[in-house]
Amino acid sequence: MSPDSDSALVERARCGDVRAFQCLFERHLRAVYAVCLRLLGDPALAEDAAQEAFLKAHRRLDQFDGRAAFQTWLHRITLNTAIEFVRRRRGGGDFADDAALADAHDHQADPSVGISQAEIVRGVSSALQQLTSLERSVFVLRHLEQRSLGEIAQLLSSNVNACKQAIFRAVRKMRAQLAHLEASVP
Amino acid sequence: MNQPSDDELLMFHFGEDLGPERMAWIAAAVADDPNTTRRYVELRRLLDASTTLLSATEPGPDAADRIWRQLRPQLAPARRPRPVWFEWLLPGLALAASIGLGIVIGRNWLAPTPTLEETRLTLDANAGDRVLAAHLARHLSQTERLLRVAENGEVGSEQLAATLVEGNRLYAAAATRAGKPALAQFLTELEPVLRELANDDGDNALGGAGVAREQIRSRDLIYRLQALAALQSPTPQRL
Repeated sequence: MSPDSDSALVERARCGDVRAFQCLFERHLRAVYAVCLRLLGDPALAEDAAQEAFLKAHRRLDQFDGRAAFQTWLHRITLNTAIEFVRRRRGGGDFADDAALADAHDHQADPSVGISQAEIVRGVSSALQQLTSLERSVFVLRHLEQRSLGEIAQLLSSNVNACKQAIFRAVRKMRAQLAHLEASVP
Repeated sequence: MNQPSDDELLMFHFGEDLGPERMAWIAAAVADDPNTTRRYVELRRLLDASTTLLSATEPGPDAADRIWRQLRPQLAPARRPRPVWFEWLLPGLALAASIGLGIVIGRNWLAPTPTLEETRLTLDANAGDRVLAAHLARHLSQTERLLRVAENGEVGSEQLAATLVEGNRLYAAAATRAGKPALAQFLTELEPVLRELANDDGDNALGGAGVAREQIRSRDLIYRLQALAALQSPTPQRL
């Protein structure tokens, strides 16, 4: 265990060394923030969630037994924290508009093969901005976090069918955005 | 040829279970049907693009400082890790409580099973009582006989009376130690009578057998002695 390894820093942080915890914070902030931003899609919310995740990690340092890497342990805390933020937004009514938003953007699209990858990225980027919290979180958890729909339903206190429909809508929105781009290409 | 829907292609891509037959059918369509192949390639490009976008999530330039400034005041000193013995504390207490409970139950609800040592001590204590009771019974019996002889005005028992005086004092002390105050008091009361009989020289004016006889009658010593002797019988009773 080298002096600056995660495990060594955790040991020092457990003993009250704030500087050691700050090293862990600086080392893992990008990864933590990335998870939060993917799920929440809002930089300000992602910062809040990242802060909350590090706070929880600090309070639970004595529960870290070193069986998994610190990064893995922190990722789990971060994911759960971000999901809590998603739930809070849902509880605040943000998800209530899901159906209406879904209807507004639910257009079947058949993007052309001729569209460039750069245009695809631009279209998907635009589409991602239009996803509801539920659609975004389900899509990220399924596509990037490789969680099953059953797990996602449990994490989000939802049901499998609702999660399945949310991910269908998310992809349709992306397709629709690409179709729009294709139509605008001369 | 029928084609899988977009939703089915998506579930196929994610490996969500659609049933083995349906999954095999979609896999065949992706492999063999050009239109399905094209749709699946497009889906992959779309998902890859989202991966690229979602992975490019750098915090802003001041984000680290901003987050740390807000986080720092909330960092209370972390709890020190518990020592190894602490993890054994709770099971240890539970074990001790179980043992204590077992002892209490054993003492209160189960028939006591004395150990060999306890049995021996009990027998020893009982044996001591029995020896004392036997000697005491003999002493009381001899004393009763002496008192009857004295009450009847017969003479020639001075030697026996002298012997009983010494024994009577010892038995009185033993009765006191054994927690038999009534017996001890009676024997103490009996001692002057026995001494009178032991010192009898035939001159009633100086006391001796005459005085003793008077005390025997007035204090009803023979009857009380019989009663005490009965109480010292095989089933001892506390007086």
